Amino acid sequence: MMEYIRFGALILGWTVIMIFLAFLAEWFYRKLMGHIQHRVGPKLAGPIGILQPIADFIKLMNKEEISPEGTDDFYVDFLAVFGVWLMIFMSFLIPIVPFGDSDPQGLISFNGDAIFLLALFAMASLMYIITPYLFKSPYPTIGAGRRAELYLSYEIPMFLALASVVIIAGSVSMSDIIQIPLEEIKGIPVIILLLPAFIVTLIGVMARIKKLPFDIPEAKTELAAGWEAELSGRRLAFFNLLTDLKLFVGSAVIVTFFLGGPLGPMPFAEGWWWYVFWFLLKTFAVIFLITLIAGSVARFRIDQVLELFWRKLMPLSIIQIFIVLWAIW
Amino acid sequence: MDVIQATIAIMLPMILLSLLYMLGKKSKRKTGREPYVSGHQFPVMRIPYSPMWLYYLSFFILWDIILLFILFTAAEVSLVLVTSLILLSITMFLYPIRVKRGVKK
Repeated sequence: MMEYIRFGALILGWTVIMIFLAFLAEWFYRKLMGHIQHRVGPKLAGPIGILQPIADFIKLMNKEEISPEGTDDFYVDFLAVFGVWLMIFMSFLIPIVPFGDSDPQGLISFNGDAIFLLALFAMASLMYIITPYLFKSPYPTIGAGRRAELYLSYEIPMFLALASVVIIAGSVSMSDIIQIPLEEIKGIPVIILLLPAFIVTLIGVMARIKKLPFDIPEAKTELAAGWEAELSGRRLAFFNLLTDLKLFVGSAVIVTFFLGGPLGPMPFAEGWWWYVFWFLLKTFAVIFLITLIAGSVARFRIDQVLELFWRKLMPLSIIQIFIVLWAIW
Repeated sequence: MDVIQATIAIMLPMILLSLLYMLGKKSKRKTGREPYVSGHQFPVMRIPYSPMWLYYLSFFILWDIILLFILFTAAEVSLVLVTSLILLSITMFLYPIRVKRGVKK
């Protein structure tokens, strides 16, 4: 019984920590984007504006919710909560700290958890496609259509790129996958062998979290926020939280598959805090890279995105599969 | 991990998030309805879209996840693997073929 209570407390604590990490990721993104654009960025709530995303969340939760005519409220409310839940549940599978004497592993760990994690990641994109269709308004419908086209374009190249990591690891377990980037095959570091897959996955994750230059479903100047035009109050607060969680968890997935997850040198004394330190450092480095690209590139048109993924990144991910097959031959 | 732990991992975050969501403010209006959140009083309209598009999308996601399982777990090339990939590829191309036929008409 005590074991279950302890596990329940761990789950609750992890959920709260993930929500705060998502807010921290949003603050980091906005602050950095501000500096790239010669603005100050968030600065009023908390020291150097670090509490701004939390303040925004509380403000939205206290704003009046307006439901457009003809909306199926139950499903919109359900999808808002379900989307956030999905991302938090995904985070349980990411290996961060060791439990007991084992290697770092997720809060939930089993053989095949890598497949389960990516399937959940694919499902999370559905929230952005189904929700706008529930409103009788033109902007969300156009935004949802664009989101769906974006989804059809990035999904296959990204999965092929991630499949190459799994093939080289020879395992579908996350705790085995994090060991791979630190090894060498035929005298070449695996991290170099997987460089094309890393590029494809990074761009795929950026498209998945709709950051510039892939924010076409919400293109504010063309679509007046597109898919989220009819969201307000707590619904908007939860969908914003979902986007923040996707930024953090998406970056964590890149770190887990390509950068060795929480593994790294431990100079002074061994302890779980080193795993947390390396994991957070790498994750925020990936968020830094995403922000830098987002701040430097203008938004693509939908046809340019399709061309990028199907004509450039798809062949690149197939070449990556062949490189991996050559390496393990 | 046993069934009770899996249930705890699924249910506890859901309960916590639902409680947090319920803390948010609901509409003060009697009906709680407006044509648009922006406050514009234009009549409600829905852009027509093909339900086939949504069916295709559902199939694509299914295809996507099944492809993932096949790619990640295939130990060797087998008849089942090749048949699954052919079936899934046909599913993927169904919608574009339909659209093409529609355009010809």
